[in-house]
Amino acid sequence: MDDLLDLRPRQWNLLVLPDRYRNRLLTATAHLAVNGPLIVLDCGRQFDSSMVARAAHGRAEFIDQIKVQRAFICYEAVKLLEKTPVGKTPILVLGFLSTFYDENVKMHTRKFLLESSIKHFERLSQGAGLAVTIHPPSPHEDFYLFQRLRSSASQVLVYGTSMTKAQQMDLF
Amino acid sequence: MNQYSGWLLDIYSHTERGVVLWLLCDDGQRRRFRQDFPVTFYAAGPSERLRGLWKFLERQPLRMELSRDERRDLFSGSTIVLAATIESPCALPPLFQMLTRYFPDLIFYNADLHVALRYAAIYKTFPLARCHVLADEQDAIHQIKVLDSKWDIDHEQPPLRVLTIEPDADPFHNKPGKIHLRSQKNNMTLDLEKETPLLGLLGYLLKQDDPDLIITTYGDTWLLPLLLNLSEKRDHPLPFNRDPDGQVSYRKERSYFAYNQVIYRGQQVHLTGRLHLDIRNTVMYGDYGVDGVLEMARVTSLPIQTVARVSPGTGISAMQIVTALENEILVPLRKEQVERTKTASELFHDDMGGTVYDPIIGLHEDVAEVDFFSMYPSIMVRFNISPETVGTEKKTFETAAGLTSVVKREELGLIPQTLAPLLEKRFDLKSRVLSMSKFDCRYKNYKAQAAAHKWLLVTCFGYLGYKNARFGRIEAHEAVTAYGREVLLRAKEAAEDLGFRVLHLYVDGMWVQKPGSRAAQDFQPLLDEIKARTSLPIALDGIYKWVAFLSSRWNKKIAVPNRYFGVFQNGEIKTRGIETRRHDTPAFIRETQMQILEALAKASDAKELKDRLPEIRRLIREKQTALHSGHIPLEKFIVHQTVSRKLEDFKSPSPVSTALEQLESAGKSLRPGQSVRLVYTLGMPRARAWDVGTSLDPRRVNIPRYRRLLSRAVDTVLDPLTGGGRSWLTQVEQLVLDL
Repeated sequence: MDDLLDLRPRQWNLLVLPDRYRNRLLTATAHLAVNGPLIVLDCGRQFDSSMVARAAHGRAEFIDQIKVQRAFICYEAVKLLEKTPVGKTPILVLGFLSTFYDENVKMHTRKFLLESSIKHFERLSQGAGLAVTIHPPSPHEDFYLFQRLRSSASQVLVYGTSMTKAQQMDLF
Repeated sequence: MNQYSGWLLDIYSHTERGVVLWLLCDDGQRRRFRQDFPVTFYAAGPSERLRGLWKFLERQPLRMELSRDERRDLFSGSTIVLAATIESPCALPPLFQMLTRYFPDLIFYNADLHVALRYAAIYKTFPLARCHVLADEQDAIHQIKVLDSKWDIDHEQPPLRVLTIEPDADPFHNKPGKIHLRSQKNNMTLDLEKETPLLGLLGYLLKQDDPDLIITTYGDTWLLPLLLNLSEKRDHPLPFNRDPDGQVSYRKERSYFAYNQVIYRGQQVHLTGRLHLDIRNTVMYGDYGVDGVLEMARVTSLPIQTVARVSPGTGISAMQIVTALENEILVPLRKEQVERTKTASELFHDDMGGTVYDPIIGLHEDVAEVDFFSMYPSIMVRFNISPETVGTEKKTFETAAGLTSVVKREELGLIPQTLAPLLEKRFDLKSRVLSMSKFDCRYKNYKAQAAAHKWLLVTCFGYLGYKNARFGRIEAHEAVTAYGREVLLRAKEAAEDLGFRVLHLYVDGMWVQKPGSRAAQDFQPLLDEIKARTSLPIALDGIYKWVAFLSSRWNKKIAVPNRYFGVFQNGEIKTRGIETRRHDTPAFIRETQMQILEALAKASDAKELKDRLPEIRRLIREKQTALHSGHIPLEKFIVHQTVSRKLEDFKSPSPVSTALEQLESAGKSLRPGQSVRLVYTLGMPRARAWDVGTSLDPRRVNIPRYRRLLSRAVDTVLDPLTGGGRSWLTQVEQLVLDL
């Protein structure tokens, strides 16, 4: 079992992961679904259902424990959070900041939406556990958004600054 | 009151109130009219925030009428809104910018719409519409009536006066010295260095000819800014604007990410009272020319100068906005609906895209290509797929196999309502084109119109799923592909039931073969059967004398969808996915591959292909000799590549980053989305920017690299023809290996 997604009640974890961790993240997602229902809010086109299905060995009873919704713009990301109730189901938000780097949306609007999101994260963290993943910002992405989110999380876990060993991808 | 009739050239906001309209009147005059045209925008949200907005708007120094209203949101139905009406449409954009800053939590409707679209929704106007106008002595319009329809095919053509201005060189490559001007009456060349006569003669020409349409080359990005700066510096006004009160407006250049690629739009220069098109900054100009631009403007209702410079997606969005306004549906800034919750399996099943059936690799004779007519738009219209009709609770009619959402049928959706007349017009145009001679004077215009429609229809499907679409919804996007998959499978079953062999399926097209079937009428029963089983229009694209489906370059056993070349019975060559179609293929390689195909096209059937080999062998030898002896012009080695990122974002050196670096040193820069021209060179650096400014020593061209590219292009078109034995191509193969 991968300890990448260690979801605990009444706490929200911010995971800073480079793209190369995507397979591992989705495998961990499939493993979480083995234990019970899971809500996935995909805000960064991260969720690959075929990859999750492979990680769950194609077993529909596990795959269908995962309820997915996707957001393609930052407004939708906030709407998804707004509509998600606090309950007994753990929540995983994937690639959260990706839509916030959209330069078509004015910075003051993005900041406003981020503040709304943080309030929702605090609300949702009162349930069965919340993990939010983001990728490390590239030099041209706004560092403010990253820092603001980072400063509001209960726990921040940063991965991939240096790889300790080469990783073999799972065949199945 | 005076009455006028003519063609509506342009419409834009007046600087104080209402709108300005320009009419090309039947008496030959170009008249400017004014009309009061108040515009209304709406806001929805919590009552206390709407009260706050009301107070905020009351404090603004604008004449504004505020009211509480109930309007229809496409998704949530009847919605309580604050309605604000202002007399001056041009005051709305700055006001709205302020509102989004102070009220980011409110939903705004009809707040950022082009005034031409608002006007079109009320008066049914469109660019170059025939209009009848009743105006007072001050040229204020009291009544306007449109006399034709945007859906007419043989509409009366306006007598546009055209002036073309073209520099004698590409300004990015070399500094131009002269500009050539051509109009119906005049033809002259002006020296850019001699500023006084340049400004004098150009000003005279603009006044004398009074063109309606100025077509330039590099006008947006270089020529007009240069001339206008010069006119200001010399205090010699150039009447580019016909409107004496109008301003030349500039739109900044920008790069953005769409359709999985970086797209660049250059700076734009818009005129008032006349139109300016820069052919280098006009989207799809190469595909459909000025006729296509004018048709785009007609069907989308966007002003001609705007539509020429925006993507077809913006065009389809404009059409949807007009439909919404006509139906009194609120137009949001962006979609407010989120995707419904799906299980991971549902997501997997719904999000599958189109059907592709890998081709059977190799050479095939007497193959028919049948295509559904604008398949995805036809599906949207036939099955009423629209963001508000998909995903309803009640199952009311058939659903496509594998579709977990259901589609509401009772009321025609916004998208089908928008697309139906466009589809009908395109169908009519295509039928006319098929039955007319290429020498008919209408042929070129019809083809251009059909090409413009094609791009709108191609985009309308993507726009359903596009993140920034106002009326998009991912479930609707998925529903279209689900129907598409079902339809194609039904077509395949029909073909197999009638004894055809299906060689390839690709989203909306099918390649079939049956011994003895080689005439159009042999395939008619199949078309009839497919239409009966799918209820969608389908047509025979053509019958190939022979067609070759290609394998992967890396593994000859793996077929590559939509990568083929073939020759139709009328001798027309069709290629997809090979070097001739790629933008990054140097002209020398593209021409050689095309010449080989032309030589092969002379064969009346596949068996005669071998007779073409001596000619091909000669051709390759000539090219090889020319390459080694330096007889290929340097321009033909140019490789065009799209800049995908800023120079500082390149992590490792590549030909593009090398070329960008060289350009930067020469004081020239390119933005992501622009095309960089380079030549592969020997030694370090491995590439040289073509536009760097100094001439390239021919001895530095990396001939071995171009030889490899040539060899690959020759392989592409000769490999599938060798079949299993490869005996009849031995000599050519040897030659290719020699290369």
